[in-house]
Amino acid sequence: MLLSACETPVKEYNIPYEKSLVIESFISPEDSVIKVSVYKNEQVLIKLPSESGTVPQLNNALVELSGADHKVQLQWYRIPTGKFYSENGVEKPVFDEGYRISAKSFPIIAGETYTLKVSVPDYPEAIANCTVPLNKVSLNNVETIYAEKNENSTLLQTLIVKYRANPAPESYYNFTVSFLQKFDKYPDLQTTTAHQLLSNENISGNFLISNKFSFTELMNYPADMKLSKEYFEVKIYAINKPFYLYNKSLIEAKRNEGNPFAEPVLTYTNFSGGLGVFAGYNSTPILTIKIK
Amino acid sequence: MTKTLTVILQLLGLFYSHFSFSQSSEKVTLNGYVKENGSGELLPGVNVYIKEKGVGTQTNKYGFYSITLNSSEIVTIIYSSVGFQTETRTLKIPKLLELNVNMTAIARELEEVIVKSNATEQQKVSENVQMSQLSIPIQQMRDVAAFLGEKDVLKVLQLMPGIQKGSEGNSGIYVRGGGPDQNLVILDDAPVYNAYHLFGFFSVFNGDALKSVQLTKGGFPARFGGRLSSVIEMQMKDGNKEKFHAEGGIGAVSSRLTLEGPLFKNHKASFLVSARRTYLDLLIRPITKTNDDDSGYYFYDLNAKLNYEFDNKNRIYLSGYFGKDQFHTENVKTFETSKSGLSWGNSTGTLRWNHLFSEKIFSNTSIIFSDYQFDISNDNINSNTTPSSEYHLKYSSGIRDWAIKFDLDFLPNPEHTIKAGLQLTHHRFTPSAILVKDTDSGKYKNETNPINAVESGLYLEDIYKPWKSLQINGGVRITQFSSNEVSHYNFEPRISTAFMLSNDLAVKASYAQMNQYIHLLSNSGTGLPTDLWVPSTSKIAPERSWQLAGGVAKDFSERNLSITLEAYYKRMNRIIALKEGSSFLLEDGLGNITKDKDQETPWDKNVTIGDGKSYGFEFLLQRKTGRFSGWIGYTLSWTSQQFEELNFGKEFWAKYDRRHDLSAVGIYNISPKITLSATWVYGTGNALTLPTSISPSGQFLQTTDSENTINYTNNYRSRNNFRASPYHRMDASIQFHKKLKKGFERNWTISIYNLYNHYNPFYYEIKTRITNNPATGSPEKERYLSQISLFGILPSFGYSLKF
Repeated sequence: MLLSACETPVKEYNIPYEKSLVIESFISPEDSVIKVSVYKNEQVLIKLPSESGTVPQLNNALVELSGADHKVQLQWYRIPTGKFYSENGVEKPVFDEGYRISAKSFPIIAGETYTLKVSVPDYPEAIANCTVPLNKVSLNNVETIYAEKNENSTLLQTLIVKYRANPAPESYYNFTVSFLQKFDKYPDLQTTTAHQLLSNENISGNFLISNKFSFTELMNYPADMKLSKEYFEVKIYAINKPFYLYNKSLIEAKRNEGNPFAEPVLTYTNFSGGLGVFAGYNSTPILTIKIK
Repeated sequence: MTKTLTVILQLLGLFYSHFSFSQSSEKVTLNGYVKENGSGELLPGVNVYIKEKGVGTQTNKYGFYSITLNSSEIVTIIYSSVGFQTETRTLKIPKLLELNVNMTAIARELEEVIVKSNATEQQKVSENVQMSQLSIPIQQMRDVAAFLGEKDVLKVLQLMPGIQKGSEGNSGIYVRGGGPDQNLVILDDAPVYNAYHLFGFFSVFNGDALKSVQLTKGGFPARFGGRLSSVIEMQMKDGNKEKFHAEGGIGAVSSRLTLEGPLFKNHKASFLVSARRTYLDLLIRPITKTNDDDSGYYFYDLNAKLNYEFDNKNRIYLSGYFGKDQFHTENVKTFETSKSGLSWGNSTGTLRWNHLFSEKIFSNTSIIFSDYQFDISNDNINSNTTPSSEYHLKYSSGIRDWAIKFDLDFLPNPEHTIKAGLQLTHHRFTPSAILVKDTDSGKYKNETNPINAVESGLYLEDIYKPWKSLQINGGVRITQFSSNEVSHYNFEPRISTAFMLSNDLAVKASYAQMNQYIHLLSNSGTGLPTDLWVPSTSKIAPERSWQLAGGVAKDFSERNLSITLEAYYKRMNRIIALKEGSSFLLEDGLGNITKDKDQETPWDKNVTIGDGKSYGFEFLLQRKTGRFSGWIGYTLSWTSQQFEELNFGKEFWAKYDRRHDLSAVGIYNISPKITLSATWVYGTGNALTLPTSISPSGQFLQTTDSENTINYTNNYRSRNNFRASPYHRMDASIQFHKKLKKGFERNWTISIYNLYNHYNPFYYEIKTRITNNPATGSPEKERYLSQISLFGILPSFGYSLKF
């Protein structure tokens, strides 16, 4: 019966578009530089360039960060970091860009509340507050369970991460695990990263236990390439609630795209007058777990 | 015990008789059963009217009636029911008279003539105290044009005002702003927990086995409880007591067979067996099966009933329903075999005992069983490794009930009809039972966490007619629910009134409070088997509603027409919804559903609690019999919800909020040999959530080292902010009836679903396609909104034969 399903393009999109700034900034006492990204949102039904490339940021924003006793203005920067080849073989530069200030000029302190104000001509001004979490995270509290699994002729490298945590209410965490493969005669690492957001509700016993991080092992590489190193990198973040809610909403919305039976996920923001998030975290150093 | 109860009830009867007839010198009681002529099938809802006194009553759902009068004069008793020739008896009643009556069904060729002649005696909506109640004659249901020719009672109910369908082709129903979980669906007293086959496209009820269907959407009498929005009560046929009958049919989707007949020569017992099965899997298997792959799907259902009449005071009925849907896939390769299965089904059983304590006191005692079970299995064996790796998963969820129910009808005099009863149900919920064996990770998991709970209800109601022009049904229901975690008690007042302004015109009003202790977790509303029944817990309180309704009912007896106009306002508190992002249906197939179950989050963590309200107006113009019959139903309504954890806490339109909903159904018997039927439906589009804008993907979502691709993320800023295009569709069918020799009758049906091929929305999706920029010539990614529709014009054929 489903064979008779039919698709019809709809011309009228009767949801009003409201122009707004899209801002992302994640601040931490461990960081040496405070960075803020400023983009604009676009209409839903839009034509976008099909070629590869990063989305350019708005470079005419006034970005002000203030704490309890002082205020600073972040400066625009744009630094080439490399290049890539687009589909039609044209070499294109890659930039690291945005607004930044050295943490020496504006140190971030756990437990403090900061305000970020961004204004761009013709856009509503966007303001958000962020309180950096107090709780510290330590590598001493991390345990992992590794397994290699062959599933449907695919080799999977899996890792479960356990973190000994205090079940305080409204405490939020992010577990980031990267799977890295290094090949001889190939300069770059093959990296795949996954995140899992957890909260005190996920604590079982005294541990926060992740779902299984599962990565597909790159197997069909050319004969002259030889796998020389394979390992995981694990990093635990203690994050504040806006960090958790914003990224959770993005991940879930992305996951449910195209699934008509999934409950819709609204995009969280803590900006008044804009979209995006101004969030804070503390993190552990990177824990490396060697496989081969 | 029975004797004691009889004495108490008779004392109560004496009290009522004295109270109501203190002036009277002589009382007479007329009682009996009303049956269908030729089959002996007991007829519920037959009007029994004493012409000289201007008083009347109705047969109860077991076909019993009793009416006590205050003199023994010569009276004319009129028995009338839709679809039957009116029976009249004129006689001088002795003090006690048992009068069983047989009524003859109206043949198609006589329908118009008989209906016209009976018009003034027909059952009138203006004379019934009950409002917000819908009943459609089974024959009319069978004549309505159906999707792929499958006659479906729930889909016909969707065509009535106040009742809405969810999505295209689906049997799920939404009553006055309530969700599909808020409907109590009962088959012979047994609740049916998943009323759908084939992911909701067909209901599990086989029209050939049903005697009556009634839906109550407001003004609930105290005898009904347990759900917020509606009670859909279905009764199976008892089985022909006079002679053996068979009816079989072949349709586009399934074939069916019904057998019924007497069991003994004394005509005191009869049976009915009705079965249906799809056969698409058998037909397409030779095409779809390859060396490696095999898959298939089928459903079946079976209704069976036995009854025995011991004497005039005692009858027993044993009825059951068994249905199952089964879907399976198998992939066999040299070194690897994987098999997946998905199955779900209901089983119900009811043992009922009707007992007459006296000519005025009728009782029914039922022992009820209901079981719904959903199973997933996934087995994977890989012999390419040493030792071979195996993964086995079995997941099941379900609900099982055992219940006892006692109902009493006490008819002391024409002014009072008293109903009282008690129901006690033991629920056993299994939200999830998981068995996992994974040799790769060494994981062995065997978890079953059933939850036991007891739900009970005690009710008393009185249909009181203080004057000829006024009727009041006042009642109360006391409900209780307890499990290991919680215990709840609630008091539910109910009242309905009808006031006759003039002959054939009545104004009605009602108020009802309802509580619902069990909840359905469903994120599609389409009746998927993954929908899960769960109990109230310490985190999830019982849902509650109250509803106020008022309206006018007018009969046009000469034309055999009735009009009802009703307005309602309903509040629903502590209703449940899934949290944002929850989905029980993954897109990547069965394997991933099972993987998801392996790492499942406890069900109550996916649930959030909020409130809802619905109000609106409903109009129904109906003609139940005649050569030309059918109805026009229109609903104007508003339904909104508010949850702290959804839509940033702001109120939003419910998904199935529908401002306008119109259905027109016409059935025309051109001749005794040909019946035409057409249906047209129109409804405001569903409310959906679509993005307000897009923005570059968050830094957090950059999960690989190739970050040079432009990725945009949808920004969703409010729930249900988009309206799908209005839904409209016309269906038509033509039936050719022919009486053959030796009592055989055959019927050809040609049905066309969506006659003018209008593609209605099923869901919407934002998609991307590559186009060329006319100015630069370079390719662009164009984002566009796509409406996905399921069915265009769908013709189907059916053939049935009966004798």
